[in-house]
Amino acid sequence: MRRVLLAVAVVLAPGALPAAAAAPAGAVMPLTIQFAAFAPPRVDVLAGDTATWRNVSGRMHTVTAADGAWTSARLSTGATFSQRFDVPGDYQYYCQIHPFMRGEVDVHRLLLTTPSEPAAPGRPFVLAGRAALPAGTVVTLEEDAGAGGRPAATATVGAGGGFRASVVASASASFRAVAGADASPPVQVLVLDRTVAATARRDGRRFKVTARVSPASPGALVVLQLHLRERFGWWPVHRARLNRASAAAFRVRLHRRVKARVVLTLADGATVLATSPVVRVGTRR
Amino acid sequence: MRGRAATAAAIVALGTAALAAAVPAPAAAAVREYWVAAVPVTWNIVPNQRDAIAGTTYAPALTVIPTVVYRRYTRGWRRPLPNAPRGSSNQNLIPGPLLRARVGDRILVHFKNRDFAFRRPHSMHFHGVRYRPSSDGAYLPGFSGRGADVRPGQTFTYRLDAVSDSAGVWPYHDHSPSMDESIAGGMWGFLSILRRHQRAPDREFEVVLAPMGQFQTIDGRAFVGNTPVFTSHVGQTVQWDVMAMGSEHHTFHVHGHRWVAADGTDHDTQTVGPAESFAIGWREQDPGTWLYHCHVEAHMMAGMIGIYRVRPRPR
Repeated sequence: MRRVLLAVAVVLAPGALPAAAAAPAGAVMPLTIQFAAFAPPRVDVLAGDTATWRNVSGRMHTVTAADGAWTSARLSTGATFSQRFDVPGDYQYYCQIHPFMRGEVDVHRLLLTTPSEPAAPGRPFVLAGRAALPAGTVVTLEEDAGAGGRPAATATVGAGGGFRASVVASASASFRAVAGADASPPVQVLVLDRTVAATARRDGRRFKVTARVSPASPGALVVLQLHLRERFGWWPVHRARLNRASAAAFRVRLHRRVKARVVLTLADGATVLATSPVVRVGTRR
Repeated sequence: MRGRAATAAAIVALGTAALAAAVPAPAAAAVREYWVAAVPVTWNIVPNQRDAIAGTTYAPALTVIPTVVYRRYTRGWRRPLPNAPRGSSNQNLIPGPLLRARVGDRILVHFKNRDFAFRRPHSMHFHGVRYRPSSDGAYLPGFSGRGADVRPGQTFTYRLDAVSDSAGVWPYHDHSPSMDESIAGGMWGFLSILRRHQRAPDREFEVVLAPMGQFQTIDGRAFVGNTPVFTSHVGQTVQWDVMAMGSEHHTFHVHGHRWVAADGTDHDTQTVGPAESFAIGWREQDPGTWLYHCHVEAHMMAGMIGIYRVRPRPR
């Protein structure tokens, strides 16, 4: 496991999953104040979250509620201002010095995390989110592939406010979380049907296994697996990122003939999105 | 080993000490330097996604965790090195680097916290060796120093002495404010200290019995094939370094072999509690594929089991 992972791995299993240890309610949403704009200009936060603006421009700004309910002081370069949002609703704000600069914070009781990777058709995909609702609340995940929403899975809000459930999508769709009168903004799940081709050829004393994924998925993770008796199944031996041509090459040196395959996975290196046909590698002593 | 005579022929391991001296080894005290960093990784507890004995499969959702591990590096943390020397294990990252020394040595462990994922403080706390409080690595508000609370990006050098009663194998682990999460996530490893004239074994196997996720693991892996597949051949001296981390006791058992424990009695199963450790060993003479496991049944069923393969003597 050479690759250092900076993001939490997305995990999969059919049906509802135990509540994730995702960030509980009370997270901080970092925002910046630029020369003539708030960035991003509109954000979705969970009730109980705090928005923190940092002035990264070279001139003074304020962050002031459109209804005058709250305001920052004048913020010079590098200064920050934080405002906590506890009640759902849409909150407009502006800069008193440059009133054309406008922004909006939309506060919800349910939020879904935007998936960082595409899903594969017919395979479970985990959607995680946060809720400003009591632990134990049942949340329904609704899928809308263009023909209106339909329930796809349910999840239970955990003690930390997190929830997650796995869904199976056959095509790209938008999902939202619903509990009673509360609904999250929709997130898009991109579903790609990918195939992995693999070839193996002798390369001196080693074997070179080349994998190619289509449609092109540069940067995606592929793992070389060997079928090893002492490992009781398919065993990951090398991992690589697909290059710009959507290909990756592995080299193995083995003194026995074994089955090999290349799988396309999520960032966890384990959740399989597509599997290549089996090739054979290694030479007998 | 299939009889008393065979047992008697086995190389005796006494207490935490390792194998009996066979050949004099260099006894001059040395300064041994190790470069270690705390690094975030994704760790799959069950890479083949199955319990082959029970015939059940596990989805990655249950087996893959983001965690932080100790990783060995070259001087100045330039390039990563394998945590286990060749022959000591066939996996990397968990347990942490096998820190070898000999009685009389000064050990310098240069530690760097590269946990930029969780951004937790980390430390290294060593059992079995002598050190000043500043190298204790254990967080105690108002008393402990920098070495007990190494922040992301910071470094600290622990200065340890392998003294006369340090021979044997000992745990080290995170003892910083993030100790609980770190130990649950695999931030532990072995110090392995030889006596002054003791010969190093041909094979040294590291076995850490610890819970991880919903599994009971050996070196952070669960079920046969996932746990280390240890190998040796007939005629080699083998040493098993065994310890437990967490909050449970374990009974370590190797099939087809026996050893002599600290009290002089023969054992094929030996109890080990949290942060306890022992080394056992013998000269191998039984080819075949053997099981090793924790004999607490619930632990074994939850993954604390592996295989050990002994090849015939090479011709």
